[in-house]
Amino acid sequence: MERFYKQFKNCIQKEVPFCQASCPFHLEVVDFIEKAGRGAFSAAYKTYRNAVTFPAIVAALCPEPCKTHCIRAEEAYGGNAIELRGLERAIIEQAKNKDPIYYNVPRKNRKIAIIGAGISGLGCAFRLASKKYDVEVFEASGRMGGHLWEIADRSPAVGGLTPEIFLEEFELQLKQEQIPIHFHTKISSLEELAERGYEAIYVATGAGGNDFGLLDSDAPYFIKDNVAYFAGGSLTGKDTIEALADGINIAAAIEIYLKTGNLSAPDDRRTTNVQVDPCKLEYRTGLPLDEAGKVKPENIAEEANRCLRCQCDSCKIYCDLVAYTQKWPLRIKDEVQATMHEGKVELKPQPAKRLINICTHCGLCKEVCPAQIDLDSMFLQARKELHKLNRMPWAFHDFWLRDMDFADGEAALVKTPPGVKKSKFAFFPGCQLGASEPRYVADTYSWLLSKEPTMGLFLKCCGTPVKWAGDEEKHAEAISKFHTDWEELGKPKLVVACPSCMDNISEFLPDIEIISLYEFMEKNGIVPAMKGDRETWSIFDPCASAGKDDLRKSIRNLAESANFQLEPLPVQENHSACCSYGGHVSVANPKYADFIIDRRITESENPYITYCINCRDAFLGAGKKTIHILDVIFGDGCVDGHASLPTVTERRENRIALKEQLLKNIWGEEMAKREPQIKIDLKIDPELKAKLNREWILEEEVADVIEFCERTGRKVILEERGTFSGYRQVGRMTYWVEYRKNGESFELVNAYSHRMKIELEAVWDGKKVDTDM
Amino acid sequence: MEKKLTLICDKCKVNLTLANVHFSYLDHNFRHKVLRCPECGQVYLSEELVAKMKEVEATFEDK
Repeated sequence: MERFYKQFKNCIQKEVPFCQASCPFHLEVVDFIEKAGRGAFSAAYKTYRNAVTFPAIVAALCPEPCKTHCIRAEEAYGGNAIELRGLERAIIEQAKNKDPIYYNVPRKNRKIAIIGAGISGLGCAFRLASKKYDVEVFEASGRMGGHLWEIADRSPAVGGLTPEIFLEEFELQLKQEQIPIHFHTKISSLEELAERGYEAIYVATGAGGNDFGLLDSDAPYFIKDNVAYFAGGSLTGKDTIEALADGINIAAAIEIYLKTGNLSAPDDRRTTNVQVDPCKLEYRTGLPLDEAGKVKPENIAEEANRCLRCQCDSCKIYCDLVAYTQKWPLRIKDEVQATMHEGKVELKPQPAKRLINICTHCGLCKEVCPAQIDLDSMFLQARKELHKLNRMPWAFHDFWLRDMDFADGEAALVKTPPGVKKSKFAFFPGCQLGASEPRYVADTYSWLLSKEPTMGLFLKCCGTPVKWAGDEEKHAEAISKFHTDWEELGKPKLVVACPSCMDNISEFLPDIEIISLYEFMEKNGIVPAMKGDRETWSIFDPCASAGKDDLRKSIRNLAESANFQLEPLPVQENHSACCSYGGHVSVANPKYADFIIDRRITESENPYITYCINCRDAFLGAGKKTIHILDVIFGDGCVDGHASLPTVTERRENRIALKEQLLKNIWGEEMAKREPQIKIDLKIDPELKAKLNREWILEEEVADVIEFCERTGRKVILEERGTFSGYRQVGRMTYWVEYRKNGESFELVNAYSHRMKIELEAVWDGKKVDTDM
Repeated sequence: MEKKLTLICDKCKVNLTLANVHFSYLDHNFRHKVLRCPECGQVYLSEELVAKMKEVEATFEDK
């Protein structure tokens, strides 16, 4: 797993927006904008005050470095930068609660001296006082504010700043803290303060003020005889805003010094490596400010929402898992790491067990991430290790593994055509196509045979379900059997219908040559039977079609040759995501599967043409008008959508019926008499059949339980309802039935299942009991 | 709330009563009182109870 964890070093999620990087206070712009945008003005004010300390002064004087770095300033995206200062001014006006927060923490009893009650000194003093350090300010004059008085005296006053405004602001922000300010107190030497027990001294005496020799040293801060000395603010040539930011940064450095004894330069990085996803970069221009340079109250939400919130969130935009869980990749990595950590499971949490099992393996993550972080492969590796460690909840994949066993067992059919010993080609439809729509397989195979007389049939599973379940051993076994079958067919080139099967074969069976069914059809000049009407359709490319440009092109050519008007899907066209089938996520989290389906089908109002049967089934099941490209080709599909999709039971029956039909029609063979799966006369009404389907319960499993109850007498009478209830463990699942008996036939009243095992005692109430359930 | 049902074991023809049953899932084991036949130990779990069991199953899967 280590190699997967390492890739997160390049994650730029924590890189700040361009404006924030250029801001002397590093205001958390995304947070501020989000609060302003939803009308939480007091909360937005708090975010702003936490960054700048004196909002009224900063909003008046800020020279707006953010504006020169804003992407919206570019002509293509609006031509005018976000009015961040205008928003700040508006928020100050609109916020109802501006009282500073009082932190009820114990006093620290550490003394700090600040020389100068200008904006830098006061900013530093306030920060330290709010953390309960004993701060004292020494001011040579008789008033607070330093050079702010000169600014306010100018005509017109810069940003409308008047002495009333800044004095009122000092009073408001400092009112919760007791900060002794010694006016008319000129400090003549720093040693004198050091002797009085101050552990840190900040010299903020303003432009041309006394630097006490601090500026003669290499850096304007150092430690001498266990006292830390700092010089900053206008004394070091900074403007008002930078001077305040300096005071705030020095407060942080003083705190670190007092806690650790180390002196570090205040963190003031003004650059960022953030990248903005191109899909966010649409044109949007701003609205004019009022005369006071404020965003008008009615425009606050619009201006805030115009902000692009420049942060790297490509994963959140495209990856379903990140969007659904709202967990950033760095957190996902931490949770996976905690889960995979060796050690007794009783002693440590495994927070990502379900998370690991809801990746659809669409592979979009590494494609859209600027750092190419591959969550998909990390999750797949984690599944393998969970399986090896015997920590994988079996239920997450059990249904699909049993389905695969069925596809590779009873439903399998691997044959060369009659009279052909070696096939040059063989049709590989994949295991779900015949389960969902047997006619697609039968019609396609007949057509393929007409084009290529040696075309064999390879009706099996490709092995992807065991790969998704993390079972490496079984996957290797499936791949090896696949290879043997392929050799027996005469090593044909496979004509593959399913894009996911194509991926699995290419990756694990590189010596097998493959071509997609639809490229083969196009090359062999198939003429689609269905004719598109004037309605506009969109091609929905399945996730596994990524990188298969020839396949995607063939599908479009086939649809266009059938007169379908095609319109590309806004996202899916270039970023093909999963329909929810991938990774078999629907058992581990059914709500997440619905979330994915909804995201896909709401991307466009247009009906979809797809070429993955699982996509077709997922969308049609959710009510989206969707057809398969094979409907277009053979023309026997219903354009308005199917009335109902086959249930899990019917999907098995379809496969068997298909095999029987093919054996009879192509080879003239009768299928060996099959033991009936349902041995009793059982009636199930359609509503209950739908429930069984939703809960992944096969009708033959239900029949098996009833037959068991009847045979063994292990059942309970529900007297008032006139029904019987009983259960049986089939495989690892336990199925419950409630049924009525009418002579020799049975009527199912209800059925449900659970994963927990009922452990029966060998001896119950002093009697031997049959525990074979 | 559904009316109380009379539950009779078909084999032993006696009413079910509350008794402990041992459940296991993913290396977790616990006992819980459910309706059982006092004679042969046959168990009955209603769909409502199974719905609650599913929440416990999910907890074990996440642990």
